Amino acid sequence: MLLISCPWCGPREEIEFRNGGEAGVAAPEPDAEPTTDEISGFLFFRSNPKGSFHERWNHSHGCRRWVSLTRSTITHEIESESQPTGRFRP
Amino acid sequence: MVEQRFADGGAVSPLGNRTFDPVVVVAGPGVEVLEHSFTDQLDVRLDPEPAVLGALGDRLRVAIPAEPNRVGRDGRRLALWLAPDEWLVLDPDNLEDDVARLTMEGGWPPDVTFVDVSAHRTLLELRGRDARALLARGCPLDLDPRVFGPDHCAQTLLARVDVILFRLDGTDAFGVLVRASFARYLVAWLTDALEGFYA
Repeated sequence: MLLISCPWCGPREEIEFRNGGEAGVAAPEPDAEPTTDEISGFLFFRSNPKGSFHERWNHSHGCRRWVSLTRSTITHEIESESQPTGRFRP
Repeated sequence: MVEQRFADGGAVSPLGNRTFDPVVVVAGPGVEVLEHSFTDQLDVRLDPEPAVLGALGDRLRVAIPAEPNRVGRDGRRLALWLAPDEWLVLDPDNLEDDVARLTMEGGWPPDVTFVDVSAHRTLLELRGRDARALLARGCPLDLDPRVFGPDHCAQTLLARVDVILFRLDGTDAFGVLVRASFARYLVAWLTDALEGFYA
């Protein structure tokens, strides 16, 4: 069980959160006329590293805000402070 | 404000109570669980500008907390922090008149929403010397008064059910807001948790 720190609610158990996959995946600019490969890369392909992974979590059973953090996929150790994502900052 | 109504015209709470008075739903030697049926609840969403929060607090006659997971109180009326842009205002007596005035007056920023969520959740009160120990059987939060005081609230899981926890004023009692359709399950779980408690 991970203990994930929510920027608003403090440390909470993993069961309160929902994993949101890799963080920082940029959508292609629609005006730049992206290729099919760029669009499918954005939609379907993720880095899946062995080691540090920057990922998003949603505090779905708490304040329902998104946070991003870096976690080791080998040891599950959380290696960074949780950062709020989106419009609001604590 | 909104209640489930049956053919005879009487309102029925999620736990089957037909009175506005608190009803004991679980009882043990050191703990008692009561349902406060038909507690008026208002969900407010707005940008957390201090001036707007102040104006809202004046209008609703309760301080709207800007700090996360805090409670504003005035008598029996409570304002619970739910999210950076969301609050829940509770009043066991009557909120309807203030809400009507609030929405009629206008002058709010365009993205403000006021939603009557009285039928969304029912309010349970856990009181007695073992109330905290009973909650601890299904909730990992530290509810010690030194950590979780009268001005704290938390949204978390209790026995795998979404709840909002807070302290009822001036006592050791806890308020637990649970969704209407989960109320029977939660009471069954509390009854079951209590079974092994005094064995």
